[in-house]
Amino acid sequence: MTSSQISLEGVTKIYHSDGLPVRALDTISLKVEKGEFVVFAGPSGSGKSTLLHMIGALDQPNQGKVFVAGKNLDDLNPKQLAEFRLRKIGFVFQAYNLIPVLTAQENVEYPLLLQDIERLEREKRSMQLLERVGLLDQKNKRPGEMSGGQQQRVAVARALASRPEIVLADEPTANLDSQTGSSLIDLFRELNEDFKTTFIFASHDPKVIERARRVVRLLDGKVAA
Amino acid sequence: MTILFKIALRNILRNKKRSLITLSAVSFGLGALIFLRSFMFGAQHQMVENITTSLTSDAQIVPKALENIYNTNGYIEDPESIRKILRSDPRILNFAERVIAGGIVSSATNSIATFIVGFDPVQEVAIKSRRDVMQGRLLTRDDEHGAAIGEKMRQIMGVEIGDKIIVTAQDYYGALAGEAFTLVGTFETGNDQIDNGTVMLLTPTAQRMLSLEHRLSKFALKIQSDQDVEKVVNDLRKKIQGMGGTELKVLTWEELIPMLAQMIRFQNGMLFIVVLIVLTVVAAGILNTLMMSIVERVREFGLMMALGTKPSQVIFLVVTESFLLTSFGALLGVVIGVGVSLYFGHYGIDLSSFVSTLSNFLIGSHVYPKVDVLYLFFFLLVVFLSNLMVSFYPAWRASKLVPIDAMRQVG
Repeated sequence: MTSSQISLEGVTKIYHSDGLPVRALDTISLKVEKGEFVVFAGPSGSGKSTLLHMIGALDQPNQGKVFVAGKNLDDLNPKQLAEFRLRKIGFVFQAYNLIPVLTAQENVEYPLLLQDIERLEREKRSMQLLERVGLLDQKNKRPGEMSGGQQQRVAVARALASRPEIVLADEPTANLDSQTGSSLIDLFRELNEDFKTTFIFASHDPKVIERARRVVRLLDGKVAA
Repeated sequence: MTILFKIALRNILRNKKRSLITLSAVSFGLGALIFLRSFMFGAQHQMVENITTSLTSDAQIVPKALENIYNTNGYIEDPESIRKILRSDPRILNFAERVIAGGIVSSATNSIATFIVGFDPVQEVAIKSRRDVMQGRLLTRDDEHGAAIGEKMRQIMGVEIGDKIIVTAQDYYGALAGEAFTLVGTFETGNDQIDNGTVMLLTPTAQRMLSLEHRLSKFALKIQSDQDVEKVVNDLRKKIQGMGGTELKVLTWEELIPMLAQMIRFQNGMLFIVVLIVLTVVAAGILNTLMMSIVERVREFGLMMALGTKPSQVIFLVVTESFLLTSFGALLGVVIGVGVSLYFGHYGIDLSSFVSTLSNFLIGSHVYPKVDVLYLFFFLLVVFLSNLMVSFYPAWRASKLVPIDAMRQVG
């Protein structure tokens, strides 16, 4: 067992695309300590997203092991994996982030509702975060009524609402103008420093990369030197 | 769980057209079943009502030999003690005393084998016996020498109101007895056997003519509530058994006319087949809707599971959607089914162009549907159970989705 918060050992993931095997991750070993602020950088198809999914218990490797917060994810059943994602991880996906029938505020509160957190606390957190991402006036809108950038910011607020140990974000600034993008990164940095929350991004946005404390460059499923 | 309930409700509202179609399938199916049962229940009620009022009443006390309603052997030797028992039971509203014998009715030109029925007009009114007068009038207590026959029998015999007819029969001691009566009226029940071969006299007249003295053939009982018939009859059996004397039987209308009771049971059995078919169609509609809605929402389920929604919560969500659709449909179905049943229950459904005289005797020309509450709850229970059962398959499918694969789906 390792003392790092996240530890990948020889992780390999092979997809089959049109019958041909594609090596998305190729024997990757990596450690991330609690409170790090990491960017996985690399061109599209380099395995950034897949690596995030491995850490977030959304995908299993064909070979190798993934340890997160002291747990070997391979040992968990679907119910325990759901519980793990709910308690430990905050996700911001590249696209299609929100539950269409819920309002912005309800989407932010969704993980809190699954955790049975009481109403006043839920409202306090969701209001604070929606204000922080500049969407307090949009709180009653449904995803279909918001722009892509606004949806992305709601997803960020949701990922932070449950105060997870690890936030995983896949191209969080992709749909945002540069000012909003940079203020989001400010928010991430702040939370990172205040709560020692670990942040891991997959991004090829130079503005994100330059503000990271650690950059892991990926190329063809391998960590580049 | 409230958030999942909220999501389920909004998902139903999301595709209004599809939900409406599914909902109307549920409500139409359930409504049709409720109306069908009301129609049957009303018709059966009328049949029983017609049979009991024109023939059997609710129950009868007869000598053992007279178990068959058309058998005429044997008499009740001690009617007074029976009267006492009947009067002491408040659940028995009224009773009528009858004498029945076999005989021959003759006119100047014709003779016909017949039942001779001695009855008391006042008592028969009290037990709500039904006789439709066709010509002349009904017998009254003063018609000591009067007789009434079926209208069809009058036509066969070629007699008119006011004519004399001769009734001949074997008396209690086996001797031949005969007497002339004035025809005061004719009746029609719709039952050919009665209308073609029954002569009605007053009870005292029949007793005198047949040398019966105080003896009777049967007591016909009117019991306060239909539901009590079985119980009252059982109590009477116990009391009468302890009496000694001639062996008597207490029979319900079902035992007197077992064919009718069997027919009702057969109809109810048929209804279960219809229920099975309708509910299968309804459940298939629900299954189809849920499957479609799940295929459309694969990415959404993937997202929810990625965010930490457990497989059991996904199952809960899908089953709740089915439950909500079924609930709205069932509510509407009850309103439609009960509404249509009550409307026709009031105005009646005219079947006169379909029915012949025999069925006329059983049902009448109009059927008045009657809501059967017991069946209504039974239908509701089965609709809910079957829809919940079929919703488990799509729910299970959704819960088995792998989040990351589901989210990758283009949809």
